[in-house]
Amino acid sequence: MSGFIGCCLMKKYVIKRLISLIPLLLILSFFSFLLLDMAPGDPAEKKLAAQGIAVTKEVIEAERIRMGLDRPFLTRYFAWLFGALRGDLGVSYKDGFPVMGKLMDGLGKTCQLAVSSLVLSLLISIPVSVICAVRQDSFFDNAFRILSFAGNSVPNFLISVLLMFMFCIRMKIFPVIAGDSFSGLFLPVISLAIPMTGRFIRQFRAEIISQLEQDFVTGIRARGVRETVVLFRNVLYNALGHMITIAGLSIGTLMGGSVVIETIFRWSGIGKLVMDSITARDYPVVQGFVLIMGVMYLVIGLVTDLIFVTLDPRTEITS
Amino acid sequence: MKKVISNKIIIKKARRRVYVIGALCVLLVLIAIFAKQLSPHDPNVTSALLIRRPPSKEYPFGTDSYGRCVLSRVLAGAGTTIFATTVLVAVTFVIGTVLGIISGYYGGLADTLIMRVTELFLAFPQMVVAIAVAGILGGGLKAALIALGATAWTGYAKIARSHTLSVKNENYIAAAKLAGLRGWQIICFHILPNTLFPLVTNALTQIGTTMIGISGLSFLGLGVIPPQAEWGSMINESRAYIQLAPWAVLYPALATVITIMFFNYLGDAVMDLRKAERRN
Amino acid sequence: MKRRLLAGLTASMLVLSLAACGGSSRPAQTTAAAAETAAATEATATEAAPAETQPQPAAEVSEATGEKILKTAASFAYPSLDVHTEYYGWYTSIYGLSEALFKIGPDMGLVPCLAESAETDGTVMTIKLQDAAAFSNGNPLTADMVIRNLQRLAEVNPRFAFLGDFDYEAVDDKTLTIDTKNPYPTLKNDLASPECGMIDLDATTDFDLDPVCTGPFVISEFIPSGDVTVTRNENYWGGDVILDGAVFYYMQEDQPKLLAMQSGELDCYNSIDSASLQIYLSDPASYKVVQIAGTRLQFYILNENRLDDKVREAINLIVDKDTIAAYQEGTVSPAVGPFLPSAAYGQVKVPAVDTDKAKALLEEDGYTLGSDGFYEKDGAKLHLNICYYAARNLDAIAILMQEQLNNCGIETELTVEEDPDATYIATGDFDIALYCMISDKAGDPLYFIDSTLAEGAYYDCGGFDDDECQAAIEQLRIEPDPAKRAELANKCIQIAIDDNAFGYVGLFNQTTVLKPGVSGFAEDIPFDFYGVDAKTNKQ
Repeated sequence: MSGFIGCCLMKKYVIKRLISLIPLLLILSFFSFLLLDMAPGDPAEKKLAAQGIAVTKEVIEAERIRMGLDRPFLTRYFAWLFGALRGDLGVSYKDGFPVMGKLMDGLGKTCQLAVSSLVLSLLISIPVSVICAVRQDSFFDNAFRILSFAGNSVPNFLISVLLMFMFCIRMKIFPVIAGDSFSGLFLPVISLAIPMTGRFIRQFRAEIISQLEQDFVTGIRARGVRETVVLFRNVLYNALGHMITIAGLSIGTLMGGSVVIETIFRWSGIGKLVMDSITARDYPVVQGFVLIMGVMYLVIGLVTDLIFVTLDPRTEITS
Repeated sequence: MKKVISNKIIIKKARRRVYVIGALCVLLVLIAIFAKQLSPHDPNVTSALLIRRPPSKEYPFGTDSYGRCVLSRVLAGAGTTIFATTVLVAVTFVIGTVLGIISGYYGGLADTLIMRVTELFLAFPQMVVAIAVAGILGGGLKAALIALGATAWTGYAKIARSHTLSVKNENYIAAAKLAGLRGWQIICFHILPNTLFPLVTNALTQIGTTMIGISGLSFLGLGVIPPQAEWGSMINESRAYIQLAPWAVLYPALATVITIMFFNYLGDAVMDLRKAERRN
Repeated sequence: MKRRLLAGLTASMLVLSLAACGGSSRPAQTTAAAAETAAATEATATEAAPAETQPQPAAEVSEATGEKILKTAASFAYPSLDVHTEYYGWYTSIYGLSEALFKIGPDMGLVPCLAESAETDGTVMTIKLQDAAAFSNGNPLTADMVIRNLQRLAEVNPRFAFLGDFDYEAVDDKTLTIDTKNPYPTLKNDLASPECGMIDLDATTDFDLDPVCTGPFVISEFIPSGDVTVTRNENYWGGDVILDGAVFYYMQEDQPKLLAMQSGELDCYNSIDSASLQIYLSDPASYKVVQIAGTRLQFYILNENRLDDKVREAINLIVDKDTIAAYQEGTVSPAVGPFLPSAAYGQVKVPAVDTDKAKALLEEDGYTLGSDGFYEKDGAKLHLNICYYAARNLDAIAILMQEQLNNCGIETELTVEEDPDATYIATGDFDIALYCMISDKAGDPLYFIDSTLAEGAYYDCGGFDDDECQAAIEQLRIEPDPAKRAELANKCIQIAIDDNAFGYVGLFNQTTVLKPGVSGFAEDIPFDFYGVDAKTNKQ
């Protein structure tokens, strides 16, 4: 009976959250449109002056009018909004391709990197952090503490260059120009995974330790339950919720794409796409990105919250 | 059977640890403050003859591609980097924690509102913020910090909230309420201590993330304005020459790693000490 | 119950992410090489198979078949191959796909390409096309097709809209006349612009992905805003094409280009940064480096509305261009005027660096050295704002100029903007404005002078205004004789220099690195829009 009520409450909560998505997305899209508009420069001028050839003011003005950039801010925003509500995200100012298509392609490529690096990080960080937490202050713990600090403190463009140098020139395992193939996945994934693993090890270790310190653990131990059972059934189970929150935060950032990694490794992901679009003031693409990312973040946030609630019996769904 | 170590010895060891690492951190800060006096050369003086000299007695860290002394620039950068980072982390820590605890404890409208705002800021792409803010304010460290801070506070809020929710319904909270303690007292004395461990760990990780974030933004052309020395932008400037003058990249990177490590270690040591003392 | 919910949630998340990943790489557009058919048939575009097929790394392809494929890197990649639109023609020219009526040679002179000759009589230019000129599908290039091309160009490209004002007439199949109505001396130069490349307008069905042109190569694979692969045009009108094909990898970053060159994955590339240049120069056995003076100019504008004549003169006496060029280590040559010193219109004089005279000038203007070592007048310090944007080494120049000025007692501060054209160039809010642009786009000085010195010019934002110069510019617009044009140009620039309105800092060198045995990658032409041609070779 309580399970049934719990399920109903959950459903209401999910629906409430999904509905609140709409005003959030509205605010998000408005502010990003505003922010980008406030930044100096516009797509017409960026396009025409691309190769360093000076263009006259009349030509730029004519192009602006052709692109509809002379209309007032709100007119342009609502025009975009009504299009978006109909499912039409428009076409890119830079090359005329449909925005949705460009974003989906970029997302797909970034997704490959994101999932691979997340999986790799979790595969390494979960066992390591468990061992570190259980054997606090041991040599293993201290060694990995230093390694995780080191991994998290080097800028990713430096890691990328070092990895490239090591694997492509010195050891000649991978070609520098690997692009989109499977072998081209290794180096960017490793570059992304190193700092993430370092971060996860620290934070998971902290979670597990704080769980181990709880009174109920002493109680279970006193009852004579074996250590491994204590670990996996109780401690890890509780810590999992928090660990997923932390991992969930990372997914959001990863899906936004890493401009640095994608530029250096020529991976045509969404990070690079959006960076190029912002620089070119390609408003439709940036708006589309903000919208899609907004939906994704909010949905992932919802999912991680639900998982967390499911796993930790002490929490309420709402307060 | 685990060996039972006297609690007193544990506390003593923990205390000693804190002092040692604390002293190292203070040393770092002092070096940053007295950078000018400690630098053998002016960090901004260029010289066409001394481009990319390897480390020598006169230039212990070598010179960069403008002929500037890397050691002097690392010292000058210490102040900029450390100060900017700690300010940002402190500000975002306070804002995020306060909002997170309020959201978790009081619930209802406050919770919904704060959580939606958190999601809003998280969902906002950092790049758009960074470039737009840089365009509006003109480039520079301020714009970079705003861009980084806009998303950083959300981490604290989420962690604080999730932990507050965990402990909110514990017995001792109910007991405190019965005893007549007011909301903010409960928060300060009971909820906050329980959430502090993961929050401080997050803060210390954020020190590293912020430093790296600043250098990442310098890759995109947003960051300190030259010729100001800052470790992240030094690494970015010199990475083009990594095959010719690796010292110009190595030393700022090493400085970054060491600083991040010291602060993280310090935080860990303090937490260990508190844990040991509380067990007593 | 809870476990099932948890399992369901996790499973759905995984499925979602896998679904998003699996889907959607855009299929690369492939064209069947026209080389196969000897007869003149239209090239057809075919959609590539499922998204799974990825372009193989070129190394595998050429090794397998023993073909001569040149592998190089391009710093830009456009989404379309439409020669006439925007700047896409620059890249179709680099890829060896399209050609214009004329080509610019190593000494800035115009050489015949698709056109054999051009003679001007008054306002009418008569152009005779090469007899052999033909498209890759075999169709001959006719005068009528040329005219239609130019008219299309005027329609789709706002920078060439002026072509629509002219009168065209096809005298016969290989001769046409252009009546410019008013004197237009730079027509031949403009016709050498890569945007004036010729497309077979009748045979082309997809201008963006598969235009039919005249060049020595045809597109074999085109990834919009990505890598481009070309193969030999078997029907090339200009004779035998040495290479079997070429691959242009889209690489924006300098370091991957360096590493790819070192690992042997690239045969050549141009626009080298100074770090990589040092590495190549230090190993002449493995790398051949060609450096020639180019036409991309680094310069600064001095704000006459804010700075007195004497202050501006002092600034120009302090800035040491040779030192600044030294820091850029071979990628830049110090500039005297905006044009190459070897050009007839590049003969101007600039006073040598003289910091003592500069200080004397400042003192003449009423400034005195304050206790902190900086000049001040009436209690106000002389404080200059140097505005720049972070590209083309302008940040290095800003730092160096700042140091040079500081050392002479002038206090400066740096302001970096992401978009100069929308900020300090437009508002005029600067003391010294750094900028970089191409000063010579087709072997003629008018374009640059018109953009920076003429009344109302967009880059005349520092308040430069001189009647004599303006008169000379008006004359330059209609003067047909090249020698007289050079004289007028020199006069204008010298006036600007004497007025201390600008400072010309450096001209980017055209640097190319090649593996031994590679040649013909336009390494001797100071323009950015040439790449492979029929004579490019790789041994």
